[in-house]
Amino acid sequence: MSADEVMQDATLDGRMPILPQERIFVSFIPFLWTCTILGSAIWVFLIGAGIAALGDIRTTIPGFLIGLVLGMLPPILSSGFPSFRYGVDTTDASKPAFGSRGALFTLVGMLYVVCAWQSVVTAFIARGTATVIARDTGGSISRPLEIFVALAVVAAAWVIVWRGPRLLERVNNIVAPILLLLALLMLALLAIRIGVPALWSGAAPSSGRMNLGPHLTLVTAVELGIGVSFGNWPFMGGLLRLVRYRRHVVAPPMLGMGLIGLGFGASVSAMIAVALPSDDPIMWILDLGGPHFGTPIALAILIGNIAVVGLLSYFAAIAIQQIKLIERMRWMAIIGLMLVPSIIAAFKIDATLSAVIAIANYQGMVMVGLASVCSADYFILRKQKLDLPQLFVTGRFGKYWFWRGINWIAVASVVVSAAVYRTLFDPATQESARAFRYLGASIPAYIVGATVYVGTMLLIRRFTTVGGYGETEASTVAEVSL
Amino acid sequence: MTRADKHFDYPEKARPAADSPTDVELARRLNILTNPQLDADCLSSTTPLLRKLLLWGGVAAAGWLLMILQMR
Repeated sequence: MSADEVMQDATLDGRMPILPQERIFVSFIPFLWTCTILGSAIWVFLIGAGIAALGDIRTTIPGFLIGLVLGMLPPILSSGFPSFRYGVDTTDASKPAFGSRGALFTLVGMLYVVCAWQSVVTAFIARGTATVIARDTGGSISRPLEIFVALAVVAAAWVIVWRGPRLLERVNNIVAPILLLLALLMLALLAIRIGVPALWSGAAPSSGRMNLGPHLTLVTAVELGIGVSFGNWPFMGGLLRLVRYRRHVVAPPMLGMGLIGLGFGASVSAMIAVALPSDDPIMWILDLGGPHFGTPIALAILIGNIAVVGLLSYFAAIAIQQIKLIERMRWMAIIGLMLVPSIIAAFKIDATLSAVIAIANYQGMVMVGLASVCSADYFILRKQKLDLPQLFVTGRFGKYWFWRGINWIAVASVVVSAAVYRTLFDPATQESARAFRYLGASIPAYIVGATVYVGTMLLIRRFTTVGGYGETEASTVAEVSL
Repeated sequence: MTRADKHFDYPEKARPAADSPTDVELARRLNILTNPQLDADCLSSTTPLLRKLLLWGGVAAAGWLLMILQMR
């Protein structure tokens, strides 16, 4: 590695704004694969089972795909666009809306999503590997083996991220196509077993399904897709700050994180959930692959997902450097810290896996408010222009200081948005209000959050100059610090 | 000196708050990125991207509407 590359890696591993020539994603396909890795992680099996449990897959799969696309719009708009343009992380890009200190609210939301999913993937790999070995040896699932595998996953992810995003990119370029091919192979094996027409049947999975009526089933499936896509909000900025050209900003995330990675994988899983009797995704793979291919396919999918744990801990390690104490730590120590949730998950695999539905359901509720405020601030109030140096001014003289470093109007708008969401839809029980059947919960919550924020900020602007709205750039030189 | 540094011939917008190497490097980067002469694709307007995004959203919304109509 050249000296320039070493310097670039030091930048890519930190919060420094990335210069155009340093950005590592310069062509479509490698970036598509990195997005696909995030989309096609092992959680597609669980989400696919959820799609099948919602109702007739001929309604829920298209509904879910529509929701995926609609749900990708706010994360790309609010987190992706400013991060791409200015080369900064999601948390830094949220400072103009939430304030220099208020961005910590977005950091907490981001860490919740990243650490939760990272733990789930680690626990799933451990449980899956133990299941495969137990089946092949004819024994029962070994608890010490599960813990050993989970800790090995943590160690492997730590090495991948420690070596920097370049290695992560190379690993993704190999693993993502393999995961996609394995999903295709599973679809082909299922089609051979039950016949192509039976793939698209209205049958219910053996574990049963909800009976909501056709229209409510469609809206609930769309809502699930939107909620799952909103989970990409924390990653979007960290990912798009590494992209060099504008033409790669929309299609790769939409296809990789949305339709190809998550959409295709979850659709195949939903079809398998309907066709096969077990409700354990690893048993589906072993069953479909048969005695010869079952174990290699299952292990390939499980090993491939180590890259996902690495990618998630990379995003978390970048974001947590907002905290000064952690920023001073060595990069390898920060990654280790971010992998602690996975280490805990190694010892609490059952509890981690049973929390999946709760994590997925609540992330949409939290993220919709954050995305509505950030996108309204960037597009409507700031007309797509941020004062970049001011993002790094820490004291009260900074443009984005608001009130003691926090824009309480943004925080209140997030709470209002979450309240609207919760009124329309209960993520825990999936019970919905009557109004839910028209547009679901996320879309009204997003619109209300953005409207409350813009309306209140426009009113406030009549009385105060906080937030630097209307000024194109600061007249004085900014004193910047990380 | 990088190619971007050579364009650095306009009033600076950022100054390091402390004399640490990190803050100095941060200020250097911010001054490069705020240089109006810096010609980089990523620094141009995001409006064309908004149009692309609306197209994706429009197609998805149309699909949703079609499914509702099909159910009636």
